Amino acid sequence: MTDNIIDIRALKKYYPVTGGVFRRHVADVKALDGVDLTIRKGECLGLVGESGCGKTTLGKTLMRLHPATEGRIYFDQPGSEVDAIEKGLVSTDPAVHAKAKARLHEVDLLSVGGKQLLKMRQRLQVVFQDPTNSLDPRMLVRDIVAEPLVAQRLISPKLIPDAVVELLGKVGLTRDHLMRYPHEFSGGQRQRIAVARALSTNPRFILMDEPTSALDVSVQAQILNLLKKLQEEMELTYLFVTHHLLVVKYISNRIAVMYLGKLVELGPTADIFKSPHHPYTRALLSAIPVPDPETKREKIILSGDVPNPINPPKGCRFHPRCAFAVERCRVEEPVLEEVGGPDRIVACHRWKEL
Amino acid sequence: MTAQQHLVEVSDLSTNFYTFEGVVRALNNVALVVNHGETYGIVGESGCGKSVTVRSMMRIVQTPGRIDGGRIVMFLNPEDKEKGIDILDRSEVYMSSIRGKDVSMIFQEPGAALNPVLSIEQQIAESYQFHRMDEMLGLTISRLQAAAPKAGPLKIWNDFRLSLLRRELAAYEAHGERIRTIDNELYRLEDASDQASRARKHELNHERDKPVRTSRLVGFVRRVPFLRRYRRPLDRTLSAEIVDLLRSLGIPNPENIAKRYPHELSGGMQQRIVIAIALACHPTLLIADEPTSNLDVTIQAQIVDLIRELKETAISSVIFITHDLGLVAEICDRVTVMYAGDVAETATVRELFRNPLHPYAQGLLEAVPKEVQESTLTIIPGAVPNLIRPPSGCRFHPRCKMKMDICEREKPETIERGAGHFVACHLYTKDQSND
Repeated sequence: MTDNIIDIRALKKYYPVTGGVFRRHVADVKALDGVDLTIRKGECLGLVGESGCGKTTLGKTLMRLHPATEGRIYFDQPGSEVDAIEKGLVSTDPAVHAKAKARLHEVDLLSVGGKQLLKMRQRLQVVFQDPTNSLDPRMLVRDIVAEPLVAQRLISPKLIPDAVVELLGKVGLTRDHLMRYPHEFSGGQRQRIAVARALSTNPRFILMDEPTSALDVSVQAQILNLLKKLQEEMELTYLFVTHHLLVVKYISNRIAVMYLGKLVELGPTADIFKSPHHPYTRALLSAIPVPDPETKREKIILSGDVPNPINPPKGCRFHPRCAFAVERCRVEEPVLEEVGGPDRIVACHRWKEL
Repeated sequence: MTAQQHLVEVSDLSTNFYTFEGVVRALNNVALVVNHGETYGIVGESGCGKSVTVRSMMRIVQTPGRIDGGRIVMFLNPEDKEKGIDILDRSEVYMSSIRGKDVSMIFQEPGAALNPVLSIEQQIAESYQFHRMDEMLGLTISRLQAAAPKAGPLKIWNDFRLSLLRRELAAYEAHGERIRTIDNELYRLEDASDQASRARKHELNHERDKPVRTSRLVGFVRRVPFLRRYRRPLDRTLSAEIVDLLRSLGIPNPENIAKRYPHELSGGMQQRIVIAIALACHPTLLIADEPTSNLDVTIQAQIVDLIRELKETAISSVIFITHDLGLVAEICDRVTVMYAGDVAETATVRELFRNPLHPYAQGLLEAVPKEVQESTLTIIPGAVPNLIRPPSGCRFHPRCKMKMDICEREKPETIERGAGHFVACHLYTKDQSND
């Protein structure tokens, strides 16, 4: 267990809903409701789910773009260390508890501040969904890519121009593109610029928030191949958030499936595609349009939409749309349990029977 | 092929956009044929002219765009399927009488396609009021007659309502009859080209464009407060029809949904409403312009399933535009691959996926992650060119790995390789000349 780069424990993110004359706090949108997830060094973890299930929130909380409500995110800590702190946090001895709390301020992404945060952010980067919106239209490519370097004061200002050219080279752009504005580029090239910017601080971990969903198929293939190549060359770890399942299958080693702020299934890509255990995963997989007219598959068509996360269904959150729901699913919330090994977990009461 | 009845024939269609920077040649002599009873797919990357093609077919190309040439012949007459109408010759009023009635369209973004200040009911009702007013009036009249009170002041009110509604109905019926006679004559004149009949055609078209003339009494009463309430039974008929329509599309709790506004609904539900509006008048042809590209896979599956079901029950043909080859494989019968305003390849779905001929079609198919993806994805280098200065000859040549000298000079002819498999590429024209 020493090879985790990110270890998320009981992460919660509630967005307050206010109402009435005094803007009272009336309810919470439970975007993330207790998520535990580990990301291993050097892997690509695919995070899938419908819109509104909390995928993007998880990513943004991870980057500390939104403050989390509760929970801990350990970044690049040995497993023993994480276990020790976790044990300390639940300990009844006040001294041990306080010590663990203090330690959190050094290793927990959600608690660190100041210089330490700056340093951690250097190793965490993000590529957003729509490159049209994530690049400042009034900055030159040169400045866009150099900005993280300037902000982090990583290298001497004199060396920055050369570093920028080198970064652009990595993503398949050249010196000629330096003095242009984002609008002069096509969607694929813009996404390359965004990738170059993410690479500039030499990160260990990159969050990919639907990096290809705004792109055409031929360009999508270019970007996917580029990301794969970079991952091998620079030993990067990706969290790949997307709703396009075939893309996830192509690029990731493991897949995590989310539904309404909860993790419902996690496992190696091949296993999940071969034998999905959770009914939701099954429905998701069967809904993928297969680019082959010869194979006609039986589809599971889910009725209705994702329920409102302000007031999620009781028991298993998936039960109103689940074809296999029984009385127990309506009452008792399933917990994540291991399926034939620690690699594969699923949260469903009935996975064994199905 | 002869057994198939054509529904739309597009030939030599050129649509250009006159922008500040120059003329964007969005469509470069596009030709395609949609048959009765098929689902026809158009695929390609963005900027390939898929949307412009169908927008030209509906004649709703936005300024600064203009249809500069070609023919779009539609075979909409149910009695005489041999005789088509070139819609580019017809007036704008004629087009609005077709749009939504014979040819309907579902747009890409349901959030943008619906009007945020009108309730769902009001938006669907527009289609009924525009195209099926006579039917709705007839229904209302028979309903009022059935529930007529025997005597008293209510009877007077009821008779008053009935007389006004009958007057309206008479006006609509007279109008419909006039249009029918004009249309019949126009059908006869469709292919005529001599001076006299051209003049007659012009005259008839002008005559046809005149609006419905209701009687002056009706016009007056509709402006008088209280009295104008005579139309309320008509509104009730419309609501009932709309609720029925929504229910038939599998929308849960239709009475409630009909009263809501678009922002209160989820994306999938909004798309169903757009489909409901498109289907309100039982069109012959439904054009779906990327109906699912902003939706989740599960919702996409619902919508696609709905369209497929409707194809079997309510509508004759569907044109399905998408960039998702998976969807094409699932739902379409025949497919056209477009590239930069050119038709690259047309074939049945099976044929295209098994044996793609055009290098662009091959590249596109290889660039999609498959169910079983062993190797890395093959890519098409570069991006779709700027169509203000499109590449010479074959527009694909700068990105093509099979490029020859001739590709830079000449635009390839579309040829048929095997039954119903058309391709426009020099690789194959050369083969043929060698044979």
